[in-house]
Amino acid sequence: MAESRPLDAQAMDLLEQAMDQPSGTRADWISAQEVSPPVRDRALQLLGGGASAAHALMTGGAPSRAGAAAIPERIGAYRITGLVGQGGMGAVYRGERAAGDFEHTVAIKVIRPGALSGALIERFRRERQTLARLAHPNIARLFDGGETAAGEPYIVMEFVEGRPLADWRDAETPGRDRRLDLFLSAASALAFAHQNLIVHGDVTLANILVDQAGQPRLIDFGISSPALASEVTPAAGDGRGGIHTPGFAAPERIAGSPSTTLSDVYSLGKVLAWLTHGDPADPEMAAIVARATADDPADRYSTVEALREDVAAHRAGLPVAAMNGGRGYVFRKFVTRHRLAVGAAATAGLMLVAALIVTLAANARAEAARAEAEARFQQTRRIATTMLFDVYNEVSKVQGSTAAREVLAKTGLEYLDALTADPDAPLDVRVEAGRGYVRLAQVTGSGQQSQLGKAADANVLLKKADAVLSRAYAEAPENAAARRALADLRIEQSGVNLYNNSEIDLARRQAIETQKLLEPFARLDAEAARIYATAIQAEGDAWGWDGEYARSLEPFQRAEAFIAELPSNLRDDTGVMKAQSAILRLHAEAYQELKNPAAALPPTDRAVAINETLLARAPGSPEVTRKLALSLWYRAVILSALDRDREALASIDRSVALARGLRARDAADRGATQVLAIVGEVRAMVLGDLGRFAEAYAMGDEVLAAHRQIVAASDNAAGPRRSMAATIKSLGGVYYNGGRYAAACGQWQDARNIYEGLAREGRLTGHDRKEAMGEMLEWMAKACSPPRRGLGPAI
Amino acid sequence: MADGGGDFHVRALLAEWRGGSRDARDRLFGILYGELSQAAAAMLRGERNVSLAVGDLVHETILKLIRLNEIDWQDRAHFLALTSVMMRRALVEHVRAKRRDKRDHQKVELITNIPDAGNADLDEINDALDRLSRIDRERAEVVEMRYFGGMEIADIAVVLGLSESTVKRRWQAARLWLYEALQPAHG
Repeated sequence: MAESRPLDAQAMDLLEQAMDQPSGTRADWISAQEVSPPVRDRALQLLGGGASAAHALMTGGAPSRAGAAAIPERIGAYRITGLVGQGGMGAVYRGERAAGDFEHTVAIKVIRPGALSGALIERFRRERQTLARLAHPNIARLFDGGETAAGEPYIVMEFVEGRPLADWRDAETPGRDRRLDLFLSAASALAFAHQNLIVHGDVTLANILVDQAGQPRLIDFGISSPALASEVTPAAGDGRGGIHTPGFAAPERIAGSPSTTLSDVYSLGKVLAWLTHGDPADPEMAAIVARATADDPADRYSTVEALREDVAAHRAGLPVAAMNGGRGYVFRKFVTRHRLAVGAAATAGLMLVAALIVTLAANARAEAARAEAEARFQQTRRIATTMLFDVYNEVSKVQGSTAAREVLAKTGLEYLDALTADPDAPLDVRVEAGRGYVRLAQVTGSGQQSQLGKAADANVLLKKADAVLSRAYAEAPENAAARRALADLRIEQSGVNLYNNSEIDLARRQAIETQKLLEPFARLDAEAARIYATAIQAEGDAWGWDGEYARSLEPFQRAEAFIAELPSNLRDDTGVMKAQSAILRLHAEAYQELKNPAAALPPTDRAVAINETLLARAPGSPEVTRKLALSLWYRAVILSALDRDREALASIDRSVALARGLRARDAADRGATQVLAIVGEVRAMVLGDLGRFAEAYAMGDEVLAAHRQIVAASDNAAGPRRSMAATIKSLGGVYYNGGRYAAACGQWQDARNIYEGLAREGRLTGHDRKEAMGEMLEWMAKACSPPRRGLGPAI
Repeated sequence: MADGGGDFHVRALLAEWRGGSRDARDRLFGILYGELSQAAAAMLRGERNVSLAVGDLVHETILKLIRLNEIDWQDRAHFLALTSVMMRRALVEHVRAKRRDKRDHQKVELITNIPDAGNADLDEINDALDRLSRIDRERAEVVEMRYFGGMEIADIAVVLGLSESTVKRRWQAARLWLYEALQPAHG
């Protein structure tokens, strides 16, 4: 029976049975079947079509093949005036944009849904802005892009009146010099794109148009399809498979690697071979083509520019580098050295640091490349460091600089990612990059300095720093820079975990680890002394956040003793003094929480004095202003507890004035908002104590608005919500003392809701539970059902 | 739409086809081609806002016929198969007409690194499908329904009375055959 069926039908029968096998094993399965050899061979031949067959014949795909796409009237802002052409991937239309008196003709490519992978479309969206900036006379400009109502991605590009390279050569039969000139122009365009970090990915005869002036115009930058390459494996053995334009794609691309500048060199070399094909034999040209199209990327010209220069030299009758066999080693080393840059350019695309290196790669002579690359790398490090530390600090002093700082932070991140992209980078480079991440985290939102208030971003940056610095320290624990950088990171993490993430135990452990790391250096220089003191402070502060104030006294005393014993040059250092002021304030706070305001006042007075000194040293400094405002605030708290209300008001008035001044400078500065929220709350309470309730309520409203702003800006982090709850609780107390019991109970219910939300997330600290919330629930029980004077005349 | 007599006729022919009569299918085609080819032509002229969604077009037509009580829902899959045949013919005629058109636009590839068969003309695919039909008619019908009609595997399974997994395997095997047949080496 089977014998009567045609051979191909039998082969398909066999193929269908093979389809039940896992996709990688079907050829082996077919080979193992006991069927007639012609049937088996035919089935294997058909199987070779692989996934290409699926791409070629998609379900419902026939109409696209018939040129059946509807011609839309408009796409985006463009009126469609005609169909230029049609292909398997979609259609190209001619369109016009009429905006005022400005009109131009564009080509609009609409990609059929499903024709490109989602990843590629995403990449295209990401790179569209860069592509649009790629302005070169030999590159067709990309103007715009988007998605049609039906969800098809489209690209709007310059309309080139011209024809593909192959048609041009057929029609005009240009002489050799003209062909080489055209090649040189095309190569310049590609080199320019590489300098701008755009890899073409599919340089072919069809993607080089020749315009009416006889100039080449490169089209379709950046929409080549590495994703397709990985999905479709070339048909083995029969010599026809592969999804790339035959003969133009580099071997590593066919193997599934992404496009790189070196795969573009290969494709351009193939274009050169085609352009010079049929000319009299020419060993120099053969050598140029051979080098450009070497199988191993390391053996090719390192850049398109190098290939271009060789062709230009040949055209001018000068010796060409490709004939000089002695430099292969140098080139290879060069490429190895720059794998970082090439990889970064191909995958991430937009990094500034890679721009520097790729620009270098395009310009440098191979002999000088290594030394110059090293120099450029160092320069990159310096730029990153300068930008993140010095420039940022300067910019921070400028009014309204939040936007500028965000740009600096973003650019800095690009530098750092580039620096750390190479796992084999020297230790000192990695340490420096790790330090950069820490710094970036500080300015992005971890630190207590004037900041951008993006806590989630800061956590990500600190994780990056941890990965880099933990490894560096593990490799070289004796290396002082690595050790100190790790200490800097740990103290930063400790602060973030304490103030933003409410991971109190972790914060304390990190504070102690910081001290151990820094112990050998703590008395050697001011920076180490400052961080060491801050780490002891964080250890104490962590106890405080858990409500264990008695346990926090010892670390604070230890920190103060450490500073007191420092050599005077270190003790007078501004950084150390800032740390000291914070320690004094927290020390005072612990006494205050332990209901011992009398013990709290002296350290607070010292903190205020230190901050006055610091502000005199740096008038207008937001950071010192902030510290002074906070120490004045705390003094007001203590004075208030000692019933010295008028002194308290004087102190808090000055504090609020400083906070408002900070905020007026830059409304987006969340650090300033935070200060206002903290000090304003106490001013409301002091005003209430003095019976000035109308002023107190107004102050309370200002404070609550500030808290809401902080919570919103911090991605709803637990810390800001906890602070807001505590504030609402206090403001409720002011209303109670003012005799507005319903308003007071409303506030407390709001605070309770926040605490309960935190409890559900497991984010309620010991302090919250024991003190803040417990006390408030008692108040509510006594005074809120119904709202009444259940707590006596005042609380 | 068709008159009352035609209505009955269509129903009767569909029933016969469900019973296995290919002759009934061919007669149905003759009756309905004019109607459906108008819809296909409108799509090809770009009068409809479609992104080549042939399946949508056919489904819409079917829903209309069901609403007019001209066919039953259970005939849906068969009707889809029928429109696949029509779509194939309409598309091939469209391609041939375009070829005669002097102002025919050039064929361009948006992205050139697509499979070789991506450049095959629909007419070539049509010829290859005819060759496949001579070797194995049922597999050719699967391709017709799937590639030209955009039909779901489940619907094709209903029309051919096969399991879905069998239809899926047939589609895969037939597609591989067709792809190979479209390679330039075969002229």
